[in-house]
Amino acid sequence: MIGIYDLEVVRGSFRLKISRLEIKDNEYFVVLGPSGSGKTTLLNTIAGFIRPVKGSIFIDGINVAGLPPEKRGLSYVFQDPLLLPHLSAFGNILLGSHGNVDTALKIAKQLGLDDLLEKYPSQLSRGQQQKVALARALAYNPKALLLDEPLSSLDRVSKEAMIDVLLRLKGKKTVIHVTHDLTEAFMLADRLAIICKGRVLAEGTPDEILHNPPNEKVAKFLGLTNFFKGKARVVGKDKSVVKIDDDVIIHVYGEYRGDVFLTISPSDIFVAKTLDSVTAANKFEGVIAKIVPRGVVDEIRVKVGSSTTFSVYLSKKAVKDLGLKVGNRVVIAFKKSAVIVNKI
Amino acid sequence: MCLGNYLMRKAFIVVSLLYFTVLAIIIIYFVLQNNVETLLSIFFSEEIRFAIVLTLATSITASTLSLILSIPVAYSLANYSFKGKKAIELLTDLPLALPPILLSFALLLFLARNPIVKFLESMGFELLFTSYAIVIALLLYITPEVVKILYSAFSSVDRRYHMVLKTLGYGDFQSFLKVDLPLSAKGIASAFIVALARSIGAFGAILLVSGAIKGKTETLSIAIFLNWQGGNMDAAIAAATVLILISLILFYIFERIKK
Repeated sequence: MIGIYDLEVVRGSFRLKISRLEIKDNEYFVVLGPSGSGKTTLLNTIAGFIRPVKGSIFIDGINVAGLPPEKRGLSYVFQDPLLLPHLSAFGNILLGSHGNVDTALKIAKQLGLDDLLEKYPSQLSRGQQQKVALARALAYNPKALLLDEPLSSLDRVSKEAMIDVLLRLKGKKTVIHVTHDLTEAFMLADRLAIICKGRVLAEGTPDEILHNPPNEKVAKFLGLTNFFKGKARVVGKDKSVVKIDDDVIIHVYGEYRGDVFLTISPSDIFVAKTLDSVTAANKFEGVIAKIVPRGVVDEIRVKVGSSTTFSVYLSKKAVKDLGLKVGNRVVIAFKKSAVIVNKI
Repeated sequence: MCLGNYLMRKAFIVVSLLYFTVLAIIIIYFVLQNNVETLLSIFFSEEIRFAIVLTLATSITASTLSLILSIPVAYSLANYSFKGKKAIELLTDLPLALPPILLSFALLLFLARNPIVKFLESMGFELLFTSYAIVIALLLYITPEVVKILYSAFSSVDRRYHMVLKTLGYGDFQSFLKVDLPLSAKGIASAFIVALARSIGAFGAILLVSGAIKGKTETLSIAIFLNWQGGNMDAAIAAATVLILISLILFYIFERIKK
């Protein structure tokens, strides 16, 4: 297990502070955060390249905070493959296995690199280089594998191939994977931590974080744009209502009182033409204020009241079929189960 | 293209061509001064053979020693932060700014008045006016340039390779052997060739400490000087031709390494 306790790292004016973070054996742990959040600083501190001002880092029960990187038994894969250019792919993997040919061949076979072993880094594609870098790191048989944005410089096809390889590591190797990519994080993580401005904002399984974001920052980072503060009151067994701006009342499951904030995923809201055609507990009439293209979907911003706006994701086909345009009056609706409630 | 740009381009090209034409004419004129038969007989004379052997022996020894000395210096300057780093950088640059004869003169005074050297002399080990003195003078003369080339080579190695090797369990020295030496191989070879070229042609830097003694400390450049001074122009030209040949070979090797 890797345990990080009361860690404080200072880099110029930036300060990383982590009170407690534990990564279990053979767990695929993702550190997710925007650029400059401190995730690479955290990884470099675990690896031993940065000395913390205070705190301890335990690996298998031993505090390694004072040990140099080569004594920590961790291997690191960078954003760039950093293969030694004068060595073949096999030579690079052998570097990881410290000359053990059997280990190097076994790892190469596992990662499907058999046909590339004689090739030099300049003869390999970026994706193949990154696979060799991963094989080199694994050949060292590290206590944990540290991955710093290993997919960010790959094209789509190489990325998918690499994700397949990383998925195969799940349950077999302790991995700490740093990324800013939500999809990547949620696809790979057993558990993840969201880090921002040097602080851990949330920690848990992807489901826990996605369905129960602990605060507004996390919700926004996750792209949950429907975020409202309001006052809750219990109206029955396992039933509450929350009054938000414009006297809009939202029905939720659970018994809540006082100040709360609500999060509703834009994908959980649907659009209808009339109120009567909807059976969901929460339904409102509004006006389409804006339609924003978001790749394969469109974001429809529907204004309900004077200051409350809901974002709804609809496929482009649905927008066309429903003939939605800015200024149209529409009905939006969502189930009680779509509302995530957090006490403030 | 506007007229100003056109004129500037043409003028600069003409100056370049003129300079290299004059240089080529001087070298070709010099080579043509040789009478092949006389030249061959002088080539195989004892004096020139001695000068060739001494030049190569002292130059190769000094270049090798300089490389051994410069690798840790250049590596430290490129990779470590330490107290006195600025001073070392200045001291390595200083000999580049000094006239070579001054270096030779300073070394002559140092060796002549050094108690250790005097003690060695009393034990029968001659240093001044010997090939050893030439090697020491060459070492001082060429090392700053060798350090500069090696510094540039070591600095260009991506430091993240060191990080990769550290996380694979390798220490600094193993990382140096597995990363820095192979990735700086071209720079190291270039430094050696440049050191060799500088040493082979060195004159001012070795003149005073060697004493320019015929048949004892007579390198090729000193042979040119002594024979020119004694009026034996054929021998001077022969020694100079050998120098040109060696320089051309080294130049060829240097260009191959660069590629």
